Amino acid sequence: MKPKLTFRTVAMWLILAATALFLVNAFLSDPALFIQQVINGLAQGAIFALVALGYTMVYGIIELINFAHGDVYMVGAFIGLTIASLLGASEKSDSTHSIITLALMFITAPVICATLNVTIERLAYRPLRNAPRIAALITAIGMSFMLEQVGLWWAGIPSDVLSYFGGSAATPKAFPALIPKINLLANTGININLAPKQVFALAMAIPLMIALRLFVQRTRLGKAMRSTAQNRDAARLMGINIDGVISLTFLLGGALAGVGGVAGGLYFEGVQWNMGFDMGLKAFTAAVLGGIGNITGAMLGGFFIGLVSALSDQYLAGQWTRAVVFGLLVLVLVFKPTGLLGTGVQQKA
Amino acid sequence: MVRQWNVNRIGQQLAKHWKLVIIGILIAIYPFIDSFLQQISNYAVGGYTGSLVTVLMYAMLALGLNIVVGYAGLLDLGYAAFFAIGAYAMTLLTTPHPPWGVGFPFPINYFWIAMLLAAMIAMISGVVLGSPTIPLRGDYLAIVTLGFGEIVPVLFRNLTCVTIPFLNINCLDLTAGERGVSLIALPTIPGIGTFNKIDLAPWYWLALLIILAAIFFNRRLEDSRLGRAWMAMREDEEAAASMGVDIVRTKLLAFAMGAAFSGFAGAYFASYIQAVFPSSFDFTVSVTVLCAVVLGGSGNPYGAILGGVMVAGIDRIGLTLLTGAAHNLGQFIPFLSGVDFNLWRYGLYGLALAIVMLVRPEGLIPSQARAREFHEGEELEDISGIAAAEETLQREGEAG
Repeated sequence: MKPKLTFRTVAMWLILAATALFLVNAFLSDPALFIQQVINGLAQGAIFALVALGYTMVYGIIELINFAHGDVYMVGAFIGLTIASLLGASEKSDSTHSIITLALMFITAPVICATLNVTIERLAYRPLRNAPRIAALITAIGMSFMLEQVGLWWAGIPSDVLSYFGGSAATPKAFPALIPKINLLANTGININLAPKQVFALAMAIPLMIALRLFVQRTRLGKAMRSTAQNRDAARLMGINIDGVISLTFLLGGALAGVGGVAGGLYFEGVQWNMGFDMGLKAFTAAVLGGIGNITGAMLGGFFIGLVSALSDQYLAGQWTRAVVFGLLVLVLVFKPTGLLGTGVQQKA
Repeated sequence: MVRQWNVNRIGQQLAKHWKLVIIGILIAIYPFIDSFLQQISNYAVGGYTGSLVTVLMYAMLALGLNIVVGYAGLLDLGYAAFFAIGAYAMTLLTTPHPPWGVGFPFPINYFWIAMLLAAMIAMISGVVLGSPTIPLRGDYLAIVTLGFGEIVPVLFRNLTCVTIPFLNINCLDLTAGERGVSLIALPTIPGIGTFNKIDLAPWYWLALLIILAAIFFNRRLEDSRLGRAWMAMREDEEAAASMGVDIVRTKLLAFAMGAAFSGFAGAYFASYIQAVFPSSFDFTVSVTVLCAVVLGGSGNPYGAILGGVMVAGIDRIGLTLLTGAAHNLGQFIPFLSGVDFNLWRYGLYGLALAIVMLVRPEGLIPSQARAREFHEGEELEDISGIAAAEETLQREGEAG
């Protein structure tokens, strides 16, 4: 069928053409700078994508915007910070010390975050599964606030963990840079700075995403997840344990948010009690951009948002990035409400 | 039919609802009670009028959002955008020192006109921001409104150097960015005087008046043709459209009305605070107002007020009172003497939201129609709708 030439399509193509022109111009005027921003964008996009996966899986299966998910990410970052300070690891630690600390962080944070996410689902969302969706949404906002309170109390350093009665720990905390700060391309003559933490973020995220995709597409449990997302009642009639599958979804999402939290702490070199809110908004935007409920879409959406943020930081101005990201979200939803990869899923009111 | 105003009948109604009448009188004379409390307790208790003004402002916002979320069923996560637009409109229209230099030459008693203008500007922006969302529903709508709610404060923060080559405008500061704008017109009542920041009682009464007007509008809208169209759209958009409801017009009117209320509240807020900053209008405001509407009971103006008063009141007054009580108890339980519940704000607030939703998903005082919808499955024995019909008849009997 020939697509109709409406105002909508014309406007869409005009916007796309203008963006493409802008990017080509940016690339031609300074290729190294452009590639640098692309690397920055992909690295932070990997972290957005890890968090976005949790949003998209939960939305796909119970149609809830899990507002608390960004705060689970924040808890993950705090767990990483606490382990680092428990083990006394810092920038100056030798490589064995750093590697052990990193390994412990990446085991503990996902486990605790997964448990936390499953507990939240069990206590707060499951009783409301058949209630109107706005009730579950408000409960999710409530959970988000409660986790932020935990972040406010949590100074990250053991001696301060229990100091909450007297004061709060609202100040941002530095995350020890356990990954050496060097330039991997220093001696190659290329004028691009490739930091090990950027490689690390990508090397952490991409295998996990591939594993998740394989899990969902190839295993029996993955099949159960997909069928539950498609039609919960039919899946139940087919003998699928719905509660178990939903718990599993929250478990996977929480674990990925935990990994994302530690990776984000290492990448952005800081943690703060309300960092989950901003990350949540960006990751959710990524999930919607990719087509909510679509796992591959969330990954691509994450990278896309990362790229857009980095390019906007460089070529527009840092203070406009937020508006650019959300403007993009609005444009995508207005022109293609199902997201970039979304199939023609019926919008449920 | 014109309603007959029968003095006798009004008297009967007042006698029937005597509890409400007493509560109403107490609310109306609260500033006097407050100063009395302060005097007898030697300023240990009281002094809440200022906080109550803020609480009432949230009630105003909740009444506005009740139209959008409660009546029309459009989940709006960016309501603070219109609040910001109203506040900035009020500010930039009335301040003698706007960021671009010279203010608009307007008479002293300009507050009321500016307030109406602010509401109108907010209303227009409601239509503008609402129009791209017409084809969207449910969560998609929520996300787009969230996007707008995030973009608008960024605009106010960053529009500090606007250059338009064609109009010969060079680096015009529109909003003063993070520095904010201060000195905003105060309400003036001709022959009585101007409001000030020392005596807060007039602010309190003005807020009460606005809320009364808002309740009146809410109630009238609820029973109007438009209100019924909203509710039909809320229940089933396709069915409403096929019954002849103009979805585009109905949706835009919901956004416009909601935004106008928000603009009113914004104008009032700007004048009361006497300074606006972009950071006053972030996502927290949108979420707080939405929580107020849902917590109180979506679709019921009284529920919205209750929700607004609870959500803001616990924050502004409740936590301080609770801390004071804990410190008094600290004489007996040493553990409590160092507690400051104001630091527990997020946790307690989140817990309260979750508990209310788990116990009463329909909100504390929902409208009767909505309460029935929320418990649809539980009323299987009433398939014929006899009870509902009886209830309607009874209500009609009372009304007519």
